[in-house]
Amino acid sequence: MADLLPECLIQKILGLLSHKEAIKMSILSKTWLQAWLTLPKLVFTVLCWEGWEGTTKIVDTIMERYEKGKIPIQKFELSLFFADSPELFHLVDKWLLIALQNGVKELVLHFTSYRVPILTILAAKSLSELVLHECILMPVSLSSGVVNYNSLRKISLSNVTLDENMLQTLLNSCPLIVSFILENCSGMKVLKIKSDSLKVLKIIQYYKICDIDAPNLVSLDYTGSEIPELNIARESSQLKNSKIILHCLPSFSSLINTAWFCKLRKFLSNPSSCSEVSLCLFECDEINMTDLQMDHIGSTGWVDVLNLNMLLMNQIIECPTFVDALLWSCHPRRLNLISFDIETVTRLIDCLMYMKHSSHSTYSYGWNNQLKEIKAFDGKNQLLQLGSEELAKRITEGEQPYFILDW
Amino acid sequence: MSSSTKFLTLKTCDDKKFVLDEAIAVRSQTIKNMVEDDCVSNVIPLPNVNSKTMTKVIEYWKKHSEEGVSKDVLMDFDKAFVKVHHSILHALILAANFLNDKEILDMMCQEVADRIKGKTPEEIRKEFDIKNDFTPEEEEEIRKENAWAFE
Repeated sequence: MADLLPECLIQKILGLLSHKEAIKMSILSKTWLQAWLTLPKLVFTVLCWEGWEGTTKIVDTIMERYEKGKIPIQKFELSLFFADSPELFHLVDKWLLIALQNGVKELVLHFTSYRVPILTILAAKSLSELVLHECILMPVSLSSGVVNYNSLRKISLSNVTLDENMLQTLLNSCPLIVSFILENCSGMKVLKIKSDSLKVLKIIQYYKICDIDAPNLVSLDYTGSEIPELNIARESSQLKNSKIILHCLPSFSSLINTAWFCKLRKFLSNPSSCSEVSLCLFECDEINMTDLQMDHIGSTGWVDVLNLNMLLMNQIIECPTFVDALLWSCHPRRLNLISFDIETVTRLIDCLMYMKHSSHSTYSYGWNNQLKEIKAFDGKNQLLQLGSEELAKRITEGEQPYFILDW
Repeated sequence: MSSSTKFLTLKTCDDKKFVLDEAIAVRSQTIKNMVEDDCVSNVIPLPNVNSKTMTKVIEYWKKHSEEGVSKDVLMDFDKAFVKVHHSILHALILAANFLNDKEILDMMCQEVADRIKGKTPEEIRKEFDIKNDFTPEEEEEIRKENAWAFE
């Protein structure tokens, strides 16, 4: 019965098995053998502490067969664990070349201390997706022949070592790049991303300076310690989804003060609307609301969901200016609080309630946008009519009540 | 449902007709393309799918289109859905491939892979009713070439 499946579907099933299991399937029947022999997706894992010679011999035989038969390769994924032999890296270079010659579209390399021959990779016209984990990208000068017409659409780098020039060279040489992921890479002091074609950007990097110049960005997912500078095409902004996580830890990031909130407001008013902002705060400095009001640059920032993580906050926030500044810079429609400390949360809720009442009375900072209503809901979206202390208790117990703010 | 609900009629290879809400039927990329290209007349013929298989596919589509169904319920539904005889499994893979429904196709291929894992080739041939068309010599040759995998 399974013989009636076309080759491409058998290959899909083989792709869900380990390499060893897939080879075993090749003796089921001639159809399965043929499917295995021309498997377009090659995924190899070499565990070097078990002695790599045996496994690499197998991989080498397979790769040579693909080279000889000019069998198309769609995806080539190679993970080497605890590899340090130069001999082994020569083999990897050879396999990589075969994969590139056979038209590989998706390349995934995962291993430490390997110096990726990035120029060779960038010269491959068929490649559309490149994923590197823990490799090393050596500095290359622009004059050394970086090709400007490769077809890479997606690049993902995690735990990769590279410098600022390499990053810029990489982005410059990929005029069609749509998606870029940068995660915990080392070797750079500042982070600058510049690309006109980029639509999806995900960054998990803790740097002091982060400049994003991507006018056509549609989705931004940012985790870091510092509010990034974002340059997008304002008039025709396509930025629809953004998720910002800021871990504002002392010694890591700048102090949370008036200037910080001004920067946050400026950042959030950049895209027309920010989907989700998570702030993990440690401590907060003096905030001068008058200074904040003076800062009217740009339009108001709106945030769909604001997650305020106060687990690491070792002091009670000096209300009400902190809450004022927070709402002033974010204008959240939904607020989630994360804390273990009942007193902090109670005071924060009191401040929120006070702001609502004050917006109806004479006390007001003269904002354009007033907080009209604030309602608390439990995890099942049922309205909660409780005092601030009772709400705070539920939050610290992890029941996840949330607030909906009406502006 | 809004008053503008459109219905499509699907006709399987054994001449059975299924009337289905268009919003549900377009889970099939193949049908979606037909609708978008405006090449849908009254009846959409599905020459590669029989009524028994189509009933299963529609059962899946409807469940996954229901509103307010929790993830756990859907997971239990999926778990039960794939527990079928291998002949139905293969028919569903072929149907999902023809209808271009990646969700069903991925789930069914995963089920085949799960059933393969940990079994010997002989056991798999038996389970999936696969005819061994190698001569003993040919089979021995393949085993020898990849001896490490059969250890």
